[in-house]
Amino acid sequence: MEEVFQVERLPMAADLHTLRTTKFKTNLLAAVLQSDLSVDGATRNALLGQVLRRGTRRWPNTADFMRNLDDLYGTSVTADVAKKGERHMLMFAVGVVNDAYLGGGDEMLRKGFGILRELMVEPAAEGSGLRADYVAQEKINLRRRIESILDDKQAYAFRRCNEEMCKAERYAVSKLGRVEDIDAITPGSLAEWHARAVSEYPMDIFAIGDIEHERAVEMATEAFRGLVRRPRPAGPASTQGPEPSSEPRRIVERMPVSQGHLVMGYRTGITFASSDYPALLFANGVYGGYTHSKLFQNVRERASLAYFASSGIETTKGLMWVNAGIDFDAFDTAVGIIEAQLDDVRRGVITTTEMENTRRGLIRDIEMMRDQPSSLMDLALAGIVNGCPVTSEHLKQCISQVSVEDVMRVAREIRLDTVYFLRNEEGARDA
Amino acid sequence: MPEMELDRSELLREEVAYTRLDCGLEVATMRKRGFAKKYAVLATRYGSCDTKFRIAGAPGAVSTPEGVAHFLEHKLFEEENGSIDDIFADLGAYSNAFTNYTMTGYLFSCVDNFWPAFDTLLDFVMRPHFTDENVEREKGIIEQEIRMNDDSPDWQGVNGLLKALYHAHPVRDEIAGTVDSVRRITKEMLYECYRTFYHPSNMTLFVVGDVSAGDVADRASALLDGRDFAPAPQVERIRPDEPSSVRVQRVEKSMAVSEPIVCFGYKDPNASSLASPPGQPLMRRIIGMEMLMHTLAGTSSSLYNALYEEGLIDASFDWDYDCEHDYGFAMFEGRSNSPDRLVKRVTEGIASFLSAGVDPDEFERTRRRVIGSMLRSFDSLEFIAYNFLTYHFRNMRLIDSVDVARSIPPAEAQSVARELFDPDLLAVSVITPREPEGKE
Repeated sequence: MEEVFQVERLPMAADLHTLRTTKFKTNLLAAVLQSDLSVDGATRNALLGQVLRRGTRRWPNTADFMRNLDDLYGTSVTADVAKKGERHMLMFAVGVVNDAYLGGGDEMLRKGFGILRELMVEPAAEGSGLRADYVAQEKINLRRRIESILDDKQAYAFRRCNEEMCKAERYAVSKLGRVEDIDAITPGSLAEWHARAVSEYPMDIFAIGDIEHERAVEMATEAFRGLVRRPRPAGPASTQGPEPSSEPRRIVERMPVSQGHLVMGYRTGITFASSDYPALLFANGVYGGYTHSKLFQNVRERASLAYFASSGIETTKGLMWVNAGIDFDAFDTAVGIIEAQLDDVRRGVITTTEMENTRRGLIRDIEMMRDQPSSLMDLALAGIVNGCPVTSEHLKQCISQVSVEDVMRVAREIRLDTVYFLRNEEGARDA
Repeated sequence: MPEMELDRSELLREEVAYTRLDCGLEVATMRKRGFAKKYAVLATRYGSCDTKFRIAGAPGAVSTPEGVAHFLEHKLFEEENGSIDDIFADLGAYSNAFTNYTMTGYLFSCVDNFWPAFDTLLDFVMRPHFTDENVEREKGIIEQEIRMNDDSPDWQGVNGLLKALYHAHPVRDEIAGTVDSVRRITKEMLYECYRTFYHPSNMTLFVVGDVSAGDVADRASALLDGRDFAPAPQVERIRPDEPSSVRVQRVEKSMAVSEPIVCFGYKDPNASSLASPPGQPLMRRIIGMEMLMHTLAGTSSSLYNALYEEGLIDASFDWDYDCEHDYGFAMFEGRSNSPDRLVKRVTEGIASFLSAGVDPDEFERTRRRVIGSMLRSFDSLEFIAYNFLTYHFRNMRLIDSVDVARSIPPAEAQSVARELFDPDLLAVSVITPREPEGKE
């Protein structure tokens, strides 16, 4: 079976991407609105997602809206934000049970498209604004949500590293925006923002599951009939960051924690659109993507310094991170081992086993995406944002051809920019 | 070919084939046609709660430090010359393991090379290799794992609740143990627990993916039935006497969090009276409570929406009911700036909900929702792989879930709730914010 999206431009200036497979019991319908990542935009989009999922014109009361979804076999609904590089995305998704499991027909599917439209386009309004009580409540909830990142120390350390590393770039903006920008938003200004987002942001619709393409075109066109859009192209998905200085920035923060959280931020200079992207995936795999990788083997298995130690890449901005949970006193040792591993990758100190196991691991991961509609959609979105559609089959092909020299070449491009360490309040003040 | 027993759900269109090998191992397979991924999990009925046991014929009982089951799970991956992970990596398979209160499971997932990976799984779990040196080396890694959990407020909230609800039952202890208990673990303890709990007759193999059940059973039989296993030990698991009351009503812990996190729940009075996993009745209890709690406090309930509008909860609010034969609890958790008011409002909500009786229409709506989410969860091989054995070890059958959900009348769920939501059996665990001293 081949998992390739069929794409078609719909009358309301949106692209519909469909992928038919009968193996799932649920169908995924989604709509994605893309915009440039910016301080004001991020906060507004994040708040908008939270307010829109409270109710619609037809179901203005949250409890009624939820009861209606319960009646439709627990149809799932999300309205949230995500970021890819310096693009911000408002994502709406509806998960409905495959009609084949409910006696056939297409009632659930049709209703699913209807809910997707209502959720995105027809909010619960009041006068010329969005419902004031929802806006007021969600403003508080957004603030709490932004602040609660502190509760997850790994996520917190990760965000702090990015904020420091990309200080001068739009990428530093969190997908939820900033607490200080929430206050100024009013039900009226949010309604205007909503109208503009729906009309001007480039839009993609996804339908993955037991849905024929022609049928999806018909249903989506029908559901969004009357929606007038004048999309404006979004700006670049990524801008060039400053050249890292020869001496990486070092940030230490203190908090009452039991474990130190180390995050090292690197610039790869390679994005999804680059011909070197498969080699970067590969370099990351050899370095720290798997349990057979150098980081896990050396930081955890040999030195017993950590329970987790791994690396990961950002595909649109061209960043890479290493993160590890370590003892407070192990900071220098761990950073030393981590850097030495990347040096080994750069110098080609890579065994055939490391190469081939990484190749098998990457190919397995790509093939496994076929079982996960959200992963298939994410790969398609990476292609859309970066302006270069790539199928999983093509990616697999490329992975099969990457050589040690390719891995060394891209590893040499990778530069350490920022070292962030979250540690306890006691102990040496200089590390 | 070993004889198969089939269990089928018409609504889910799923089928599980079961068999028991001569060596005592149970084997179950759920074929998922069209899926690329294949999972195999080999699990034993041995978890963090099994810290005290007696073997028939041996003098006295054995007590082990907390965290041995989890430690053993880590060390089983070690071979004479390296880690078993390397062999899975050579095959392009992803390997992992988990330990919870009642079980330890070893698994791999892959797309290609399923059979060699399958052979590897069955081989390494049946062949321990512990040395003083490799046991010592693991302690640093596990210490970091424990510290990671120490910094997780959600984990600490739930663990605090269990420590408040239970006086003595080992479910109140951390699965990984403490830094201190882990330091006391020795190679000899690992071997003793291995011999006690890793006999094939105490274990189950489960495969989910596009694989034939007959092939799985044949291959497992070919690999294991020729082996010379010792006779199955007669193991008596010793649990301390657990009073029916809660130990304390409220516990608090301060951590670096943005606002309080509260976790509160009721100790199940029925659980300790059951001698062994009762299967069907337990399944009806668990699914019935899931339906009842959704009707009471789910996102479409009046209670949830009132609390949300008042700002007492946010989208992090969640609830759960879980029950083993000898422990069980219903729990609510979430971020809240007024934890005690939230607890008061929920308990009042429960009281009025129970006195009014469950609205049959609302219960029917919940039923549709629960059936829909069960269908959805069967799209996830991860969900199936992790949950099948939990159900199986309780003598419950995961694929019967939908049929059970269809058959529970509101009155049945309500009578369980009346028994369970006893104000005297409520405890509250709160994580309170501790201000960081500052950045530098």
